Amino acid sequence: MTSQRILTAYTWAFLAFMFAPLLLMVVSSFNDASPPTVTDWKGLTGKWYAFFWMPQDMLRADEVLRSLDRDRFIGCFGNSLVVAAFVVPLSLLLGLAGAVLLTRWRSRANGMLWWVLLSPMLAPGIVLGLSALVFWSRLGVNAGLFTIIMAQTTFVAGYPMLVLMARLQRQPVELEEAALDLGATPFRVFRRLTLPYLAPALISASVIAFMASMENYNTTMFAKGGACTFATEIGAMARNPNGHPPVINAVGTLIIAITIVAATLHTWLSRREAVK
Amino acid sequence: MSELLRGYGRGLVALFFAAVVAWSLLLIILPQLTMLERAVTAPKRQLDSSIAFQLQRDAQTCVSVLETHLAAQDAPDAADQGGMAVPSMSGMAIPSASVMTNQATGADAPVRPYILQCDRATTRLRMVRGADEPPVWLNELHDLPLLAVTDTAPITDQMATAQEIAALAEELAKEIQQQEARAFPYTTSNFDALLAARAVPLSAEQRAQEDAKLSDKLLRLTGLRFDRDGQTHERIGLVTLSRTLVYAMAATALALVLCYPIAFKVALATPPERAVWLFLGLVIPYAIVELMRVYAWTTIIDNQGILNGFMQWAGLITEPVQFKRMPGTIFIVVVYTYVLFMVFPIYNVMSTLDRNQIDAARDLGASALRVHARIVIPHAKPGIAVGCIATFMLAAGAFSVPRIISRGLQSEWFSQTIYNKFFESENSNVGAAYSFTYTLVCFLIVGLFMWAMRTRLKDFARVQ
Repeated sequence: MTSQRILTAYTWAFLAFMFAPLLLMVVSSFNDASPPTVTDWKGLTGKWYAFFWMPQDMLRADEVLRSLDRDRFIGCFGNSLVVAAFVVPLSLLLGLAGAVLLTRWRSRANGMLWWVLLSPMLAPGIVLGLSALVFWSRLGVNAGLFTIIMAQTTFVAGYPMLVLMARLQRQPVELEEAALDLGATPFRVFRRLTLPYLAPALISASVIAFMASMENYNTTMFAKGGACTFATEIGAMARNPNGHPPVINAVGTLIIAITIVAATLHTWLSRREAVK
Repeated sequence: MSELLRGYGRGLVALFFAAVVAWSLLLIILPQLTMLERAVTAPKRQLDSSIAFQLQRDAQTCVSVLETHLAAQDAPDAADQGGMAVPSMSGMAIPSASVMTNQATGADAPVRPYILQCDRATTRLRMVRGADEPPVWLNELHDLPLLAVTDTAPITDQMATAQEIAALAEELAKEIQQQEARAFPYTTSNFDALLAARAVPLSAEQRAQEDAKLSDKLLRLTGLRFDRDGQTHERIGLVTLSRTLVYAMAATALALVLCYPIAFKVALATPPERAVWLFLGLVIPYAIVELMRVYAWTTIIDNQGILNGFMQWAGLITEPVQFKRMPGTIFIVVVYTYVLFMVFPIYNVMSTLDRNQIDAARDLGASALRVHARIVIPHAKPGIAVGCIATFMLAAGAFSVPRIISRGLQSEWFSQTIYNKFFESENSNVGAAYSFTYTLVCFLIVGLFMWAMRTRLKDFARVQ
């Protein structure tokens, strides 16, 4: 029984280790001090959040905020959404194609295909970004959002592939066979049986792909050229030699809040479904 | 194939194949091959033909600038009235130099204003060769007469010389280019940069300090550091590479030790209805943007961070400790950032284990250790292998962590070296060579590990 207790205590300690830095980040986002700190409390403030809607003249009056480029930040965030808008559907298509071929295509080339399609997930992210940059510049495409999209799709497509593959392997074949025997065209079977069956997996795959695309820093940094995304801009702000502004903490707090709400909601819903 | 066609129809199968072929070729294989090509190609501007071409251009520019100069001298009024008549002149000439030319009348005084291209138009040009090779000159290498546009000769003579140089250079450049086109175009010189040893300037005192360190002994043992001519030499590229790999492996090992109990606790040692919430506690930090989790550490390790604040408050230190200069900090943050990639694969496999097996073993008197060694670990092995591979790859390719945490205040992670070589050095092809080598080394390590653990690639689909 004592070993059980030690294990429980250790689990809580581990969770504390995981959450403590995040908690500190949230707390310091309300502190009126830059660079962010929790030990030197200068008063409660919401201005690191208000930065995003503050009128221009108030922004100029603040000595920390005036050095930040709000329009650029918002532009970079928009770039990230554009990139994700291409990466998610592309990787769903590639992931679905890969999953179908890997599970259903009986051929000698199958083993090779496993290696090729999984290799981007095994390679260091920086290499993918760099090789996309080199390859497309060889073809005369300058680095920018396009190379970011290509570099991200290379490995992001692997996540939908794994998720869909797990679901495809459990697909009951009988229904499909019956429909085909009754004279349905394969395309009709795919549209009316396979796609609805894959729908939950497709949804979770697209959420994963979206998050992977939004948060990606390592690959994007190498492929971005002069463009910027949400992640690279956060990275650039965090490296600011004059002290990183607590605005990043505010953004982080927002992300944490969204993640917690979404994850809790998802767990709660799936539990309710399981109980039913 | 026939099964595939029957199940999905010709149109869909064609679409799937097209997508997979596009993915493999355009996104995976061809980019890596281009990378390899870049890595084994010498940079263009270093080619001998490029230097000859440059000489031809310089000589021609020299001729045309001199022409304008002559014209300006013939019609001084035009030049005085406005710079418009001779735009290139005013752009090229430093004002004081042109004043000097106007005043100087002696025989040895230069008769032309300062023109960079004329100074550069000489057949005695140094070719680009390795740093430790003796210098090679264009005129000696290709038997050219030693020609230069001397600034004391009359302008017309200068122009004639420059023209002669331009003609020679043009002919030579074409010839060399043909030779180069026939020659084998690839070289391993970019990879040599990775192996190259650099002298490390150390004072006697620093040296004694360095020699006392354990890392020095390790480096000397592996041949990464050695003495030549009384100077300490170090293979800096290789040192960074191996240091990064060692750190990544250590981070993977630590993550495994940290995660195994957690995965066990959540998967097997908690009633399922409570395990859901524990699982949620792991998913939340996993789902939060990676960069934010890295950034969150700045609040801890900064000079105004909580660690320094606490130690100052307790009177342990008076000056803040520079955590961002310590390699250990990066190591800890790497572990923190990527540790959860170890938990989930192990958890996924463990949760398929029938709990009754554990209970049965306990009832039969097996100790907890024995239960783990004989039942849980063998069952979880694919998950452990996949978790290790994922964590190792992320740690080895970590770029955000060292970039944000260290801010360049300590020695690089290899990913940063690749970045710097590619984007900030004079020869980006060296960066391609570094990157390609790194991919190969990482795949080799992963391949060996998979072979040792008897892991198949299909396990990845099973556990993630």
